[in-house]
This record gives sequence, structure tokens and C-alpha cells, in this order.
Amino acid sequence: MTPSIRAALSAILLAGLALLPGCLSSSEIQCVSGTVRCGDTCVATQTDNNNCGSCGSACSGGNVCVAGGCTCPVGQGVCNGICTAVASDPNNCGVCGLTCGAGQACNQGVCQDCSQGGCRTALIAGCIAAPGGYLQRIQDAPGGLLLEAPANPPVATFPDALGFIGTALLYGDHDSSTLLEIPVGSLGSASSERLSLVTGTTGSIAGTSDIYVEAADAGSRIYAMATLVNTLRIFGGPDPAQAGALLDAGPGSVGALGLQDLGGHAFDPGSFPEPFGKIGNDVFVPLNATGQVLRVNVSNPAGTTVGDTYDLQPLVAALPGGGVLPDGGAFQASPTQAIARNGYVYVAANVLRFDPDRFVSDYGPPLVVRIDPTKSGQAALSAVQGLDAGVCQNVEWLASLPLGTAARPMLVSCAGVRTYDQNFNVTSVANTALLLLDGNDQQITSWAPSNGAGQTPPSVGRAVVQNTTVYVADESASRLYVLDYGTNSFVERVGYVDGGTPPQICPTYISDLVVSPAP
Amino acid sequence: MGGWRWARACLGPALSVASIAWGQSPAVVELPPVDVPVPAAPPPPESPLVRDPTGLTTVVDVASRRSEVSTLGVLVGEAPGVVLQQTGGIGQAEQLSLRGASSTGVLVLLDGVPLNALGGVADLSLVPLPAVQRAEVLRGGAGARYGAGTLGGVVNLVTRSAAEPVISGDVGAGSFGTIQGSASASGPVLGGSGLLELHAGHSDGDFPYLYDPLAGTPASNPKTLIRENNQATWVGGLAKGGGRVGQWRLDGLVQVSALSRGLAGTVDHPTPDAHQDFLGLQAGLRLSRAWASGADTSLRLDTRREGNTFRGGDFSDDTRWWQASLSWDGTLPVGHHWLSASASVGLSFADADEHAPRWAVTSASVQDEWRPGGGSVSIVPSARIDQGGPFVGISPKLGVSWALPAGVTLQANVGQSYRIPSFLELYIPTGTTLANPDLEPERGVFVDAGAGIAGAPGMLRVAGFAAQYENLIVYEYQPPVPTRPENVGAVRAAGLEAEGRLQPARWVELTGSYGLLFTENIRAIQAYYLKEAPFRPRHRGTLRLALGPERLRVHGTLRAQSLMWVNRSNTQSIAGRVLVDAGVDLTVLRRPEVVLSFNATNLGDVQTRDLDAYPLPGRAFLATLTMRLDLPRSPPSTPPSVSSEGTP
Repeated sequence: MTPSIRAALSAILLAGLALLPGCLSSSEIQCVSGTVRCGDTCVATQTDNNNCGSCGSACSGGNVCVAGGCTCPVGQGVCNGICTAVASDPNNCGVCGLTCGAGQACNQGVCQDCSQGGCRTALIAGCIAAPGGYLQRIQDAPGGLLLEAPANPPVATFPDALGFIGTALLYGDHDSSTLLEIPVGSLGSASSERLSLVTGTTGSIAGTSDIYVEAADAGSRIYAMATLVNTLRIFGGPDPAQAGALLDAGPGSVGALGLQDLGGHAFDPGSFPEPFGKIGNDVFVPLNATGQVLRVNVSNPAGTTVGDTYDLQPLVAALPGGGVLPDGGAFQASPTQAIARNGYVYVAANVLRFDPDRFVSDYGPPLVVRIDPTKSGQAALSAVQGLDAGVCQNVEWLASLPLGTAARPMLVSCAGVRTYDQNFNVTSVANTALLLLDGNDQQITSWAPSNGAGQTPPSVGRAVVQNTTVYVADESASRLYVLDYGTNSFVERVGYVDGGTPPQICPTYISDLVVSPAP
Repeated sequence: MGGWRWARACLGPALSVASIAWGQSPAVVELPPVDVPVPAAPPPPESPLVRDPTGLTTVVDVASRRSEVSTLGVLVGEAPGVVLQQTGGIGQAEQLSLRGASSTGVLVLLDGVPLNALGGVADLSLVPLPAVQRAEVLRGGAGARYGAGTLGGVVNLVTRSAAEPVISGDVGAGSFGTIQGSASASGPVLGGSGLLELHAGHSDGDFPYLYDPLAGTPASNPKTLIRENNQATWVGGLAKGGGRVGQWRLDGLVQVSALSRGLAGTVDHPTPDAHQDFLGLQAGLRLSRAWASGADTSLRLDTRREGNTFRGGDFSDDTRWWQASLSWDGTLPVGHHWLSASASVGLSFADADEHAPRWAVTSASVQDEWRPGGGSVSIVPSARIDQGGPFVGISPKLGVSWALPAGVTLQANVGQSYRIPSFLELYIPTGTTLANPDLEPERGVFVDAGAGIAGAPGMLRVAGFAAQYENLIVYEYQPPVPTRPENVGAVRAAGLEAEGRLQPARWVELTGSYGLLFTENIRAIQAYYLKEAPFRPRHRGTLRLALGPERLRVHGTLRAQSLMWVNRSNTQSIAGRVLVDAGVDLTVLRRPEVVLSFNATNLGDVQTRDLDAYPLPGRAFLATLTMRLDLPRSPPSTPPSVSSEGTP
């Protein structure tokens, strides 16, 4: 090859470098209705924060895409170019740049000190921010919910689950798969004592779904459900009344609870145990992946014994609308939580049929299962009757209301039938509601959040109760509703009622919500 | 390493003459093959030995040791700086980390063609072990010579040569229902040379493993479980050939591999019904010419197609990925400079359900291998510009090597590289994993220096390096369901690499490698900051001893790896391990050569895991019967070229 030929060939090839990109960038994507093609993917430009109104037009500074335009979420203004809730932001309280003092929260744009009384309840939410997360203390003040400045121990990423032993917060950290001990009065610090929730050398994430504390033997027992590694860990701890003092080791330092590893229970691989109910020495553990509930005696944590295995599937088939699907398929029960109430165990269960080809689920009728611990085998099971699939589907959470001395009522959270866009943003929710059942499991009343314009469609998630107040988390929208229970009815105090907006608690997701004792 | 080109320039004519004389003397070729000094073919242009003459490259002889191991990754993982990441057993996915970079930042080539497909990761289990002759592992950012995707380095897998007149075959059977075999024939054909290789195998993969999620607690209760849905069946072949066309040489290759395997899932989340079917096809043509002056040029056309079908498990998916490229390489000696340049144009596209991204891919590179005064020092500046879809990046590099007396060589390099996000990361959501079209390329800078000495009894090479990787793409947990890749990661890495071989006598050979790796997460999150990157063991080493005459060879290999963290907080880890392999090769017949090999891997039955809780097999055995018949060499019809052969 002569130099001239070599040069000519080089020139042709290099010219190709410049010409080809523009010629070959097309694709053959067919977008579904409501979406348009942006590059090589389909997006909903009416709601997509990254392609709002048109391809590549991203909303920034906390703006969200509503009807193809970037706007701050309802109830927020702009501080330094960032959408800010000046009514509740302790760093921009009332006006941009006004920072509330230590221990103060921002109440309707005014810094307020809850230590002077007037606040009903303090809650702590586990927040996921992607990346990371934090603890968010929330005060239920007369004017509404007050959000204090977020805090997180430096060693933590974000909490999977939270629990209290006295005034010591137990924090199941996601990335480290450890249990942290945090003084409730100083959420940004943690004890150096840190228990691993994954033992051995498994190379796994614990994925803690529940931290349950009970008084026992002049001390306490702490149960941590490490769902992703299919284990229940059991620790021995101090008397809850002394826990706060143990952690309060003086200014600037944190003591330790001295938790002892007592053992636990290993479930079968892939069973995904969920938050459990406990009666006597037995825990009733929902196994999400198998559609079963396992009864385990934990009186000896070093040598637990397995009792009955309850199969929820027969109950599904017996429900109205729970039989064989037109295509011959069947709904599956996926229990998500169990509680003990009035001498029984109640189990919340999703009922759905997942289609891996479409990556969507078909939802079946609502299912709450009652287990009679005095009976054995399937005879112990019964489905709570009368749940209306036209109001409630996809039961996800239960809570017992500590009202009076009679049989306790029960809250049933129905997460509803959800649809998602391609980015897994919730686009619609149907049949989401909070039901209240009386001591005989008869429905007393129900409540469903209305939809605020421009907001993520609300849904009902986990609920915690303090006296006659119910705090209902909408985990996906990271919002919190407050309901007061009156005479056989709920009164929505914080929500979309009267044109208001429930406050956004976390940037992306509420991983847990607990009622906090006073420091 | 920089000597290939210069050796060819100086010795090329001499090799040609010698070959002619040798070809005219048929009596010589009837000597036992082991005694015939067959000149090794020069590496092809895409070889790191040629393309990156100052780079720190380790060559792993795969063909001669494949009966010792269960997977290709185990052998490649012996190179210093490499961390092999496995999902468990024969036929199951395995990937490489190099110098602390993730597997997406290690470019793996099969005869120069990238295997990093949709997700940016090259799965070595999809490359048939019998088809591979050797692996060339280039450590350090190699963007200036190989383009994007080379933050940690390059692994070039070279298929078997077509030049040797050989008929060979092997059958093997071993633990966990493993049976495999291959057959090949190569040699002169139609005035050139050709090779046809076929292979097939199956493994049940049902190895026992220890399961004790409460280990270390009072409730510890170890159980032995059997790995389920871990089977794999594979079949494939390789055909290649080449010959002279006038003053030019034309080589071609077709390689096909099919794999059907169960995807067992992790220990904690087994997936008993998940399944993958893979079909890969690669074809290429190369037209090349070399001049006695040392100048050469080659034009090659390559295409590779991969199809994957996933069923069961958490989601179903059908993906297809296809790429084709036309590339040119040329070198020209000018005085004390050896100038080389390359350019390529190509297409890459995918089809995954309703997503069908496609890209044009183009590149151009230049390099000057300068020996001031024609001496022993080489100074090699190089740079490459790559465009892939909307991304354009430039990778510069400066390398220096110095050949000292007594076989001592010094090498040093500094450079920058980057990685373009993969189709999967950018455009194709899978299951609960979102795509992110706003991703930017990852970047990496590195510096390294090494020294080596080689002589009759063996060789020793030692190197140190430092690198920083930024803008790394990380999948963040975003509840309630999806994860989404973001450019948020940043890691510093530094370490030492050593490899050596000692052959004090003909019947004794000791080889070893060692890698020391320090990593630091420099992402600004307090819980992670300055913690070690997960799945990056600080120490990793291999030591192999082979003893005995050719007819009865015993060997033992020790593979050690220190503790490695499995999370960014450095609170969970996989314990260090020492695995011992041992085997014996008994030559039962000399002509045809028939060798019976018996190998045991993980003799100590060490229970260990990798990645996100994938158990690895314990003690396993594999018996292999290998037959090799060396055919008489016929005189070449035309003088052999000094060009490389057999790999387009």
C-alpha cells in the first residue's frame, strides 16, 4: 500500500466517523398512549420530571411535573431556587432563610418549641432519600404537624425498621445490616455498640422489616425480623425503663444497652418472613413468598421449635372473586404482616397474581386472616368476612386500637390497586382505604384520602395509633395523614381536607413510622 | 513487552528464511513435537503485547491447563490485579474486576471483539473454554489503545491457532453431574490453514453447600443443602482459517456458542424456576499485510450477536444485542519512531421488548513508539477518541519502557480512560431496575510503574499502581420497588502486583502471582466515606507447583484471597479463603499422544461464597482423557508471512 493510498483510506474512514452518528440514531420504538418517544425510550411528558412537557426538559430544585409543566408541589414556595415548604421547613420557617432554634419545629411558618407543651404526640419516621436517608421527628402540634430538622447517625445509611425500648431508639440500618442504638433525645448520634443482623459470612443484606420489643425477665427481649436473610434475631436487653439512662452517658457521648445475642429462628431460604404477631411464647410469622404463616415457639431462642404451618391459599379460593381466573390462573396470597389482638392473630395479605412477562399484577379480593391459637392446623384459620372489594383491595397493614377495656377495634390498611408508569411512579390508585373493624371484626367505618390536585395519587399504608389519634403513612408519596377517631367515625385532621395538603415527610419513601416517647 | 514490534522488524526476514528452509526438510518435522522449535506466531494487532507496548500485560496459557479447572475465569483470575467474581460452578456467570474497577470497567475481547454486551459486563462463562488458547490481561486504564470501557484494563481472549497440523479431542467427567468433550482439527488446508473445533458439555451443578444463617449465634444450626436449578448445558464451535492472497493475508473466523442454564439465585433468595438461554455468534474477516521494513496494515470486519431469553424468576425478558465494526490498523516505522494509527466505524444495537436503542460507534487513535537513538528506551505517547451514541471521549496515555541488561525491563504508564454507560443502564429497564438516559460516562485516571527480570531460570515482574475512578454508575435502592442507576460513585485504588515463574530444572516449575489492593470509597456519604469498596479483597494470590517429567506430571495450585467486604459500610464480609487444587497428568501413549488427567479442585472442601451470597462448589473432581495427534507438516505453498495468523 502506497502512502497516498493509505492516506486516502484513512481520510475515508475518518470521514465516516463524523458522518455516521447522525445517520444512524433512529430507532423503532412504538410508544403506548400517553407517552412520547424521547431518544430511545418512551416517557409520559405530562408527569415525567426528567422530560416535562418535552423531551429533555427536566424539572429541578424540587419542582414536580404536573400537566407538562414544572411547578412546586402544592403548599411549597421557592427559596434559593428550590421548592420549600416554608410552613414547616425548620430551615426556612415562614420566610426563606429563617432557621428555627434547637428543639424547635416550624409550625405554620412560626418556630415553636414543643417542650413547652401543647404538642400531642411525637413521631419518628424512617426516611429514604435515595441516596441515603435519615430520621425525621414529627410533632403533632395544635396547628398541624411540625417537622424538626432531620438527623441521622454518621455510621448509618437509612433505616429499614425502627423500634423503641424505653427511650432508646433501635434503628435497623439498611446498608450495614446492623442494629443501632440511638438516644431519642439525640437522633444524630448512636451507640458504638452495633449488632450485626447478618451472621456468618453470607454476603447478604438483612432487609429488616420489624423491630419488636417486649418486657421479659426483669429485662427485655428484642426481636428483629431480618426479612432478606430469612431470619428472626432475638436479643436480650435491659429493663425498658432503664434503657434511656444507659444510653445517656453524658454530654456528647452515648452509652450502650448491652444487648445479648440469644439466638433466633432461621426460616427456609426464600420465604421472606414479615412482621409477626406474638401470643404467649409463640410468634406467628407471615411468609410472604410462600403464602403461609409459620408458628414458632421462641421461649428458648437458642432452640426454637416450629409448630403449625398455615396455608392461606385455600382462604383465597373461597373468597368472592378469589377463585379461578378466566385464563385459568389463580390469585396468590402474600401475607405482609401479623398482629396479636383479642387473643387471636390477624394476618394482612396481598392477594394478587403477578405476571412476569408484563411485570404487572392483577389484584384480587381483600384478605385478612384470623388465626385461633387454641386450634391446630388449617382449622385455626378463618377469613374476616365482609371486606368490600369495591372499597378495599391489597390489604397491607393492620393495627390494633387500644381503646377502652372491651375487645379492641382494628385498623385495616388497604393499599389499593396501583398502576405505575415505566419509571414506577404511581399513576393511579383505586380501592385504597382505611377500615375500622370492631371487636367482632365487623366494619364500623372507613376512610379514604381524597386526591390533591397535582399530587401523587394517595394511598393508605402503615398506621400507628396514639390514644384516639391515627397516623396513616402513605409511604410511596411520603405523606402523613392524621385522623381522630370519634364515635364510630374518623375525622381527618391533617390531609387534603378543606383544601389542605398533608406534609411530605421524606424525600422518597417512609420506611417506618413509630410513636416516640419523650426524651 | 514492547519488543514484539522491534523484534519483528529485526527478525522478520530471518524468520522467513528459516521457515522456508525448515519447510523444505520434511525429516525435521517427524521429530517428536516437543523437540521441534516451532516459532510462535506474533500476536495479532489487537493483542496488548502489540497495541500497548509499555502496558503491564500478563499472558495466561489457557489451552495447556484447561483440564485443571472448571471454568475459564479461574485461569484468567490467576493474573495479578484480577478479582474473579463467580455465581457458582460450571456454566454459571462469572465476571472480572481489575485493579479495583468494577466488571463493567474491564473490557473483555474475544480475538479483539468486545464481549461486554447490553449491561456492560462480560460474562466469561459464555466463552467456551476449549476454544481459547490464551488470555492476555492488560492492567490499567487502556482507553488510549482500546477505547471506552477500559477503566481497569483489558482481557483479550485469543482463540486457538489454525496453523498447527493437529487432530485432538478430549472427554471429561466429574463431580456434580459434569460431562464435557471437545474435538478439533487444524492444519494446512486449501493452500492456507484452518481449524474446526466443536465442544459440548453439561453439568447438573447440584453441589452441596453449608447453610447456617444464624452462624455465630446460640441458635446456630448448620445444614447442608443442595444447590438447585444450577445446571448448565452448552454446545458450540469455532471455525477459522487463513491464507495468503497475493502479498496479502486473509483470515476469517466464525464462533458460535449456545448455553442453557438454570439461574439458581442467591442463598437467601433462590429462584428454582429461573432460566436463561444464550446464543452467541461471532464472525470476522481480516485482510492484512506486513512488510519486511516492519510496516503493516490490516483491515478487519467483525460482527457479534448475542441473544438471551430469561424465563421464570422475578421477570421474563428477551434481549438481543448486535454489533458490527469495520476497523483499520496500520503501523509505519519512521526513523526511531514507530507510528501507528487505527480507526473504526461500527454499529451497535439492542432489541429488548419495546426498547431498541441503536448507536453508531466510531473511533480513531494514534500512537508513536519512539526509541530515542534507537536505544533501549521506548517512549510511547498515544491517544484515542471514541464516539458511542451521544457520547464522545478522549483517552490519552503516555508510556515508557526501558530494557536494561540482564533481562531487566522497566515500564511506567500514566493515562486516562472512561466508560460509556451501557444500553441497559441508559435505555432498557429490566424488572425492578430502571434505566436512566441522563447518565454520563464514568472516568478513570491511573499511573503505574513496574520492573521485571527474565532469564533462563524464570522471570519476576513487580508493579505498583494508583487509580481514581469517578462518576461511577451505582444502582441505588429506591423503595418501594425500583432501583435506578446514577453517576454517584467514586473510588480510589492503589496496589501492588507481582508475578513470577521459576524453573530450576526441567521437571520442576513454580509459578505464582499476587495482588495487593487498597480501595477507598470517596463518595461524600459519611457512612461510606473512606471505606473499602465491596468485593475487593486486599490480598489475592496464586501459587502453582508442577513436578515430574512430561509423561507423569503432578501439579498443585493454591488460590488464596483475603476477607472482602460485601457492603459499602464495611460491616458485612466474606471471610478469606485458601483453596487448593491438585492433579496429575499421565501420558499413556506418545503417538498419538494420549493423556489421562485427574484433577481435584477445592481439596479442602472450603465453604465459601461470592457476590451477593452465591455459594461456590466445595471439593470436586474431574477426570479428562485427552488425545492429540500431530500431523506431518507439509511445505507451505508460499513463504509464510510474518503477520499474525488465525485471528481476524
